[in-house]
Amino acid sequence: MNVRFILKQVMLAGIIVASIYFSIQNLRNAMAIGNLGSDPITEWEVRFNAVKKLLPFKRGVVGYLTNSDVPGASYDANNEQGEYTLTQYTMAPIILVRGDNEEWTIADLNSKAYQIWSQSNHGEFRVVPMKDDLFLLQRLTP
Amino acid sequence: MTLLSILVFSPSILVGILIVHLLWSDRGWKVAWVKVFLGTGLGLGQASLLDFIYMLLFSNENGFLFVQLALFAGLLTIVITRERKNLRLAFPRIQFSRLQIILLAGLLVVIILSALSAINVWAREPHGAWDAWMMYNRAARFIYRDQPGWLGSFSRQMDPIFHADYPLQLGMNIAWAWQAIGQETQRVPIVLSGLFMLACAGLLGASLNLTKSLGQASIALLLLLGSSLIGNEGASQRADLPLAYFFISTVVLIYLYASSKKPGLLILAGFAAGLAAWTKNEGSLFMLVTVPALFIAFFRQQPWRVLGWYLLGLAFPLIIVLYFKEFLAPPSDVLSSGITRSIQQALDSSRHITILKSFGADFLSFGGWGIGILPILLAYALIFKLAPSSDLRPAYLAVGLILILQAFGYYGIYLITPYDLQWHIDFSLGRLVFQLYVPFLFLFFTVVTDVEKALAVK
Repeated sequence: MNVRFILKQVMLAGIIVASIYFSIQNLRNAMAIGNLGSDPITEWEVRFNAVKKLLPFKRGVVGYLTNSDVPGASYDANNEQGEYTLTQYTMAPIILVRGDNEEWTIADLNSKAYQIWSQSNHGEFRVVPMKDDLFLLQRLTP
Repeated sequence: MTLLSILVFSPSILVGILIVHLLWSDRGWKVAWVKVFLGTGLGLGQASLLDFIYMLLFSNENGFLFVQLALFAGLLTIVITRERKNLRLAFPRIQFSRLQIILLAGLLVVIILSALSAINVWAREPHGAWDAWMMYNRAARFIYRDQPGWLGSFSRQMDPIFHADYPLQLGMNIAWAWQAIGQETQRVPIVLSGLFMLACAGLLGASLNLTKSLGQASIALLLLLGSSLIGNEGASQRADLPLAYFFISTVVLIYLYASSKKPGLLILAGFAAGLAAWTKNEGSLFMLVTVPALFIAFFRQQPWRVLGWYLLGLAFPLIIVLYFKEFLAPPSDVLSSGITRSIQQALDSSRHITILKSFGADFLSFGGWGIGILPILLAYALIFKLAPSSDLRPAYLAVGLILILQAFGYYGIYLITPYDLQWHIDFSLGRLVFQLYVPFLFLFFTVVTDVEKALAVK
């Protein structure tokens, strides 16, 4: 039995063992993703169900306002983009654009941010407060 | 609901298998498996293309499933008429060597573990990974939830981060399946990702079993499934695995054409390349690089004829992709830097160094095995030795050129990207390497000595 033949056998055995070992690691990694019981996207969708029902149309463009759009309000920059994309995914086929320039705007503001925002926009919007820091805003002035 | 989600795609898959059979009439069990796995992806691809046309014409209707059923009935009639004298089922006598049994036993364990990984990913992330829900499942929702106004999905008002310019293969398939079932269930994108996982791994195995040996196919599958690329990445519902599937389909069909010279294989290869472009923007690059690669590789074997057959298959998906890009899709963000800035970036040596370093690092680590799978393959080639067939030189050249040109294309995209270079590389390079890894595995194991032969001589 020559050296090359032994090397070939070792190589094959190594590939089989490594493939099984790393498949187990991959399974462990897969089991470490999120939770089986709760899916954050589904939870996010439940949060926006009421907003969807209140909007007077099923397609079109709607504004989107968060703490980061309110000068002086604190916000978590790491979550900003994620929450925006989640909300767009949830609200489809409504198109969300940042800001409050549309007739209708979804505002996701904590109480402090809402206080600051409402002081500077008094009378410009009809505000429909909802659960979980959500507000539906209708612009009254063009 | 899972069974219904599988059933809804069955007519499309059967259409794909029948199309493959009509254009490639070879027989035998080994060929049949290749046809099944080619038909799965090509069938899903044709369904997506036809649904796009259907939605342009009848966006208020929900009858696309009947289009697929009618197409299936029509093709089945043609095949039965053509084959009625040849309809014989001869079951093969299967005999495995001891080496093959060991390899298959190892592979079976890995297949079970990969399937468990995939089930876990699906159960824990039913909407898929970030890119999957943000781009492909979001696109499907826009199409399904507002059928009459579905073209609004491509509004310029949509934030560019949602990539409304991305091709619609996955989005259309998910949306028409929801329409057919009458319910927006996550089981549909999950089943779709499962079908592409199965088709991708199956095609790699079946094509190597056909062109080389069962042992060769088993080792390639051990190297593919043992990485996290199929069970975990594939289950994440991103478009990279379907794209890798269309890459390997094209490559396998070109290889089979080189060995048999049957034009139908080139038509199918062109169709598969076109479907790559209909799956992800990198697919458009792939479609472009295959044309010069084929011309150069078959330069001494009537290259214009080769290209003619190839372009015949490419034409239908290409027309759809061009229509989508020209008339519907918003501009792509990757090419948004402008010519002047792109040239400046391309001349910046620090960008070249950053990209080369990242490519090198990925080469040494790709696959998640501690040491990269690519250096392992290098050692494998040194130990088992290469044994290319001189008759298949055009096939090796074509496939090799396609992979090299595609890699250069990725390099070029990084050079001109408008995003922060390191961020863009970190975010995407692993997945780009994965896209090329699957067809590379096929090329590698067609060139290296068959494991059965290598271990037969002491």
